[in-house]
Amino acid sequence: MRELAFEPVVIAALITALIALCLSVLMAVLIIGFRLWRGRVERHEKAFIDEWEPALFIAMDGPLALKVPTLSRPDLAVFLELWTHLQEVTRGVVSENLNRFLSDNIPTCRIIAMMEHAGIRHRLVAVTALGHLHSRAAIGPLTKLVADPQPILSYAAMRALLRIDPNEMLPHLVPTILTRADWPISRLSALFRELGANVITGPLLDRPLNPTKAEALRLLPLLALCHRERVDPAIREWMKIQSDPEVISAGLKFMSAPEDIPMLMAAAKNDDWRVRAAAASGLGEVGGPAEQRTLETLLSDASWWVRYRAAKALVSLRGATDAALNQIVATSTDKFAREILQQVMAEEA
Amino acid sequence: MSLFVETVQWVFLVYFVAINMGYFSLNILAIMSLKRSIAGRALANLPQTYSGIEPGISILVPAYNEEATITTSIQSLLQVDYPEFEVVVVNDGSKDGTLQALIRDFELRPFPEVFWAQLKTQPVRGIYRSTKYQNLRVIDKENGGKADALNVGISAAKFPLFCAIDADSILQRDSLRRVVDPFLEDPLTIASGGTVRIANGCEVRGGFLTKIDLPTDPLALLQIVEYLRAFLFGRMGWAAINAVLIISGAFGVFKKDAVIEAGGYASGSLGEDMELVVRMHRLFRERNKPYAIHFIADPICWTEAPESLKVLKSQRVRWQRGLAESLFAHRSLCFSRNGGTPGWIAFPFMTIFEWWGPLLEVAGYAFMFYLVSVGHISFEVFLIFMAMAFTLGFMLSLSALLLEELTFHLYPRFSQLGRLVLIAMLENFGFRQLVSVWRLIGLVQWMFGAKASWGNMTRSGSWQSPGGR
Repeated sequence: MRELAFEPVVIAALITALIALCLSVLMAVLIIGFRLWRGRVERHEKAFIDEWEPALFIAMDGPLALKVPTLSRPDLAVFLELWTHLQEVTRGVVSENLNRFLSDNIPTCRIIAMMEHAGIRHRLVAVTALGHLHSRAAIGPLTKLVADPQPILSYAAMRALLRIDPNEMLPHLVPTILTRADWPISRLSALFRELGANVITGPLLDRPLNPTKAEALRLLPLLALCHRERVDPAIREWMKIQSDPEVISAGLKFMSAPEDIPMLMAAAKNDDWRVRAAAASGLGEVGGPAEQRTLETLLSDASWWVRYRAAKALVSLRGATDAALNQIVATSTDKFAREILQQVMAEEA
Repeated sequence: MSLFVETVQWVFLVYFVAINMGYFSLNILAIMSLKRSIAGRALANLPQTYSGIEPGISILVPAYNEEATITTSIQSLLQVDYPEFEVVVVNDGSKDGTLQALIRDFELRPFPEVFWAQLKTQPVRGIYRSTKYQNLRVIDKENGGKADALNVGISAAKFPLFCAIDADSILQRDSLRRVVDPFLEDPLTIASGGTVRIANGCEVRGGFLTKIDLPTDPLALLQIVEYLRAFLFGRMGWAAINAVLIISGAFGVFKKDAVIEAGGYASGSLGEDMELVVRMHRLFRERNKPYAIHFIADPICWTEAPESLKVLKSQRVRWQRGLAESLFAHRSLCFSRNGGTPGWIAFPFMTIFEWWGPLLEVAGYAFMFYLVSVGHISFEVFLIFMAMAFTLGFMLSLSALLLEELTFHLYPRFSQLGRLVLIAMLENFGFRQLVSVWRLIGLVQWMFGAKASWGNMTRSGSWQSPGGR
């Protein structure tokens, strides 16, 4: 069968082997080449940081006569990264000193150009730096970037705008914040907490409160960070026209005044277990002896979570005593109610 | 006969080209996925702030006969950096002193907790709560296997997300934070997996990885290249098209409600991690419910690779059986109307190259050996075909090394690179074929319904520092 050596299949195998070998050699060369290049870049970056980090530390204390030479784009990115890291851990005068040093040495237009035309890594660094720098010249380009489909970039641009001027920017950004589901609400919440209730309350509330369900579920956790004396009445009114269980259960978390008790009592009878669970928690916060009976009823609810929240509420209810709780355990005819209350009493012990 | 021989040769050639090109394409897709995470790394080491509304996570640790290591494992888990989490250890009827060690070291007390069995499991014998750590609970149950233990943990979990983790997995302090990111960024996320890397050769202190290095053991070194090729860039490639079919049981985070809706882990399955993910794909697609399953490329979980052939064989046989079980059980996903990328691309790929691949591969090698031994083909032709198989395998491994170089660069020394390249070459001379044979054994065992067994996963722990973990 030696004649098979010249069959097309053998020739194809030989060609495949040769191509694979050539590609392997090419990749081996690329690996080595890339490693050598990376080593050179890392050494250069280290030398650059070693040179400029002390200067930036001095600049944090006040004006520095030292001039930064014109930097290549990669060096500029390293410089901005270094500068940003220092900005993230400083506040007040020190932060302002760093800003002055950057403004004196790097034209803002260069950073904006980097934000608009570089690779994503450099763009991110530039966006963050512009935010710290409070650069008003960057507001236009950053606003454009907020619409970028890449969440990592658009979120960074939004954060930068809020750093530049939260009072001016937030009202414009709220609609986008509520609709961009790819901006994590937990990160927004951390950011809004940092901005403070004085800044965020107005922009979040001074607009028609008619969000869609998805928007409402993003808005409510942010409203929790606002001045509650302004937020709670608005939500109270808004809740009257809500019908979605998920939205209602999220809204019930704001019902923390005695005047909310009727709404909570009504919610305790809702068909949806999430609403009943939220109502039980609410009653635990604002209720008193008069609400105990309702919570006892919820101890026998079909949903484990409602029973658990009701037990938690009973334990934290105003005027609740161990004796009263033990009395409920002793007199309850429902095994599930007794067990869940005993569990929560042990948890709280 | 010559037509038959030539046909077989074509099959052999096409199979090897297709499997290697398939994985090579996955590597290309992986680059797309990696682009974003690499860009984000520019600012990743900036101080992190938590908002307090991150979803809480229940870390579920199924434990069976883990007396020797359970305390240090749990102590390290209790130190992860995340705002709200609990650790739920499920003692799956251990025959050694696992429960006693936990009771002693964490000052556990019986707790009158109402166990809400949301999934069918073996009976729970008792629930304990630590008096030292408020967020540590231990559930003692009758033995039922890992899947059963995880189902108990899911029922007991009090947070909306749970993290299934092996008792011997080594995390980094920020592992949870990173694997939760997809849930924060994409509300449709129902599961998120992390890259599992090999810890042999690394240094571990206090349950956390402190220094990355290559192992000296050749078998572990071979598995490093294998993990890079198949588990890291393979899965990253699938993630790019929302078609990840496996999230490793060593470390993965799931949305609790979605898993309960899917029926939890399949008790008795040898590949319960893959089975669950494939089932979730199938069910969500059948019900036309939008969802996403993500995969984090960053190395966030490290595990010890077997250093003995016996243990490695047992592991690979088990993996192959688990894979076959999972794909067979959910074969209706393949080419289904709403199958999408999992049903139309990943499932057929896995069926051909992973499920039945070992049969084709071993048969191909065996047939070529047979042909040359009886003189149907010349030794030169035989060498050409073997050279083709080896060079394609080498090329694929090098492409994985190139991606590692472009991205994480975990082994920065030239000596490390040299060893990896050498291993990428040497693995083609016996190791890959041996693994194919083991996988074929797994396939045969699955076909003939041999009794499922977890076997013993002996860990050497040679990578642990003396004063550490």
